[in-house]
Amino acid sequence: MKIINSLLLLALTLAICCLSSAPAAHAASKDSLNMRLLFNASTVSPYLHFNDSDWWWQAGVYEPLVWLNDSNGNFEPMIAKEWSISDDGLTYTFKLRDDVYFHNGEKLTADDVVFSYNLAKEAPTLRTFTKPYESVEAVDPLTVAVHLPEPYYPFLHHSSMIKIVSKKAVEEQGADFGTKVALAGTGPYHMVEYNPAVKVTVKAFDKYYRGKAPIENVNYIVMIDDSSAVIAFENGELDMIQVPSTYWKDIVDGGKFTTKIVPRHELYYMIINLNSPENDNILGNKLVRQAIGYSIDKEAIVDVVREGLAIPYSQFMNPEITAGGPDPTIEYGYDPEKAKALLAEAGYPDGVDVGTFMSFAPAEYVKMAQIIQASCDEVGIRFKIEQMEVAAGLTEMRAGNVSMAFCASTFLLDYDYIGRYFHTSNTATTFVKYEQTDKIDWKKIDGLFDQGTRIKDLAERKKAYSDAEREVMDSGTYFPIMMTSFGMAWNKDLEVDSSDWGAFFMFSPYGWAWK
Amino acid sequence: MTKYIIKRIILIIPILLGVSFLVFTILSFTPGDPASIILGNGADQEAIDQLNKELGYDRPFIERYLSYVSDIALHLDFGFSYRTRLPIRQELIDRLPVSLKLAFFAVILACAIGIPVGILTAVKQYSALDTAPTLTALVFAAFPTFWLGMILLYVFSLRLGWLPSYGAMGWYHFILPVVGLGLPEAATLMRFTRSSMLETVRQDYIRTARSKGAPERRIIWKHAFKNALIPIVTIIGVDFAALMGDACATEVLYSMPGLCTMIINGIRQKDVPSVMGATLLLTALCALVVLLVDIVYAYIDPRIAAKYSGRRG
Repeated sequence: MKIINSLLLLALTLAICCLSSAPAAHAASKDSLNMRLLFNASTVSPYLHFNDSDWWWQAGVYEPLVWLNDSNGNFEPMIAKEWSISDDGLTYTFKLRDDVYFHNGEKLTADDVVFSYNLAKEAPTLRTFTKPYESVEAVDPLTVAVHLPEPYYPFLHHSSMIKIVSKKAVEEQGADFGTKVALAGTGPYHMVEYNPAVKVTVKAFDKYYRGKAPIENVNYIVMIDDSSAVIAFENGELDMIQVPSTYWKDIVDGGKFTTKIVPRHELYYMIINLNSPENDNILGNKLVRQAIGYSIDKEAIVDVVREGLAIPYSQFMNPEITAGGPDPTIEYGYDPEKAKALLAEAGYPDGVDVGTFMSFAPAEYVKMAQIIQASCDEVGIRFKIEQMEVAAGLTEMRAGNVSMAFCASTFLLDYDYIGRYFHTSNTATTFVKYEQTDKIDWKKIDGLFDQGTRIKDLAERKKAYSDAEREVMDSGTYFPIMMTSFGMAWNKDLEVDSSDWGAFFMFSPYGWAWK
Repeated sequence: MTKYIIKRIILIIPILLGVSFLVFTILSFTPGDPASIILGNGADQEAIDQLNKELGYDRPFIERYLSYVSDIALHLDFGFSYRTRLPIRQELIDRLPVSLKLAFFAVILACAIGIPVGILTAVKQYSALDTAPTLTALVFAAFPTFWLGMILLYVFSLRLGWLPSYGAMGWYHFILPVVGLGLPEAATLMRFTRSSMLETVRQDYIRTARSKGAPERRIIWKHAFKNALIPIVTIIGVDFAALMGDACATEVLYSMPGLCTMIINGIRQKDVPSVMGATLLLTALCALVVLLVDIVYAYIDPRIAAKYSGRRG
């Protein structure tokens, strides 16, 4: 008995020791702001960022030369005060501000920009954006020239994705850059704490060229679970969150917070693989594919899956803010009668089994698949749903082994961005392998996308992309379903300028203030 | 006894090797590669290949496995996270205290409630003092951990505002998760203690003690409880080991950076070194806890100590 008593006493002592040694809890005050990160942060480097969380917290830390305001599609000067494009479209020249300082106190020069562009070019995560340029040179301490091997007119859009870092700060950290606190940015906030699984804290930068930010500290706190994040927000432990769609109505109706719906460029779309061998390549029949397109009840999907935080969509990108983005070409609205007629025309008046629909395992995808299954069933199109984990499903899709599936992608910048999903040269990103069939004029689609990037005149570029989108839509292989939105909510005492919020998660807290 | 302990510790090595091979194989042969997941569905093949190469994922499976195991064996080097590029060893050191504290205090809570109430219900069998706690225990044992956690969050964090809803920065951050995790365990332990005690109090030696006029308190604590302890200690040990690796819902719900969330995030992102590191550490801890339970047996029951030391009682 004595031994047991001793053990219990020891346990109790240990308990008290462990608990009392824990650091004091963070308490938010009016000079600080607490924001949620949906996932762990993954890197300090702006060239390795992998997820939304990194986008969020890095928004106030690193800046590009030119900022694309994706709420209206316009460019705004940042580190570069002006820029020009040579007549042959091969050289972009940027004039830099002379009052920009890095967080380590060093003044920014053209050498830092050259260093940053070269560093970015080595990063696989930025390959899409760095592919168009060949070399970068410092013309003088405040002028940089970026050279392209061939004209690529969406380049300015791409340059807005390349952040500038301090050569000295990065070289001092060497291989450790990206893994610990770095004073390498020029933004209104500099890092003070980096604990990727717990919290990233940034502090207002005294020497910021547009003036010091009003809020002194911003804490980005990792909270994976939606429910507890909403509770933390309602409890005042978080000052702003991206509201999970299931809680949006409650938060808005509650009236306790300021709310705003921010459109993002995340498109949910359905893929039909015309090369699928299922049921004697039934999906090779264009009329059957189009019938499926007219059987998708997009409104129901938006209501059930996103609780209204999305809009039914018939295009791949929003033409109002996307350079070269075409107006709607062929729209597949929900029309069961037309679907039935197409099915009958295809030779299946009594309905047809089209095989298997691969759904990613998250509930959102499964719900969408079930809604489509129900609406297709009414028309006479039957299929079974098979669930796969995202990683496994994506691999199967990339290999062209999936008959039907959903996917969500954030399409941004110039319309060329979408081209890599259709252009046959991009074998890893095209889920339907056009080049394996003669049922699609894929050479024409490839040509139109190639041509688009070389056209300087936006109206002409838009026409080429319009033709490309029409070909894709007519093929009945990709069906846009809905464009999602962020539901943002924040403390009513927080003054936030949300006029320039767009899809880039560019929620830099610069300019926000407590009342 | 010392020989036995050394033998048991050596036996942990093949267990770790087996677990490491199994988990590494599963992670390697499920479809997908880390670069594809990290770079998303818009990445081109060239970028995917480059990143996989940078991560060392382009090497053959056996080469990667052998290199992984030898790095751990020779340098205690668990590699780097594919996503954060941070050393896994450091991440394990950072996260282990959170999981240990959570499991430890949940077990303490479970013991503090479960054992005394279990004894009480056994001693007062068929009375109200037996029925009420037994029914309550049934309810708590049936609660899913995440649901109880949500209720606690709602009441004590949102409605009453007494406790924080997330994090592991201070001792008060542990109160809700520990209660959420410990109460169902207390219910299980209470039921187990009750049945173990009931079995013991019916033994002849208890009857003999009573007939000799020994005080009831002494009979219960000195004779009955001590003999009922062996199965209870087993349950406590198993619970502690299980709670360290089984607190996923709690860690996610309260945003606690423990080993379970490391495994969950790692699986989602195909971050093989993260999953491997956390799994191996949990396996080693489980094996050590089971060993500790066996050693405690020896102190509780002298017959077992005698068996280990070669003496016959």
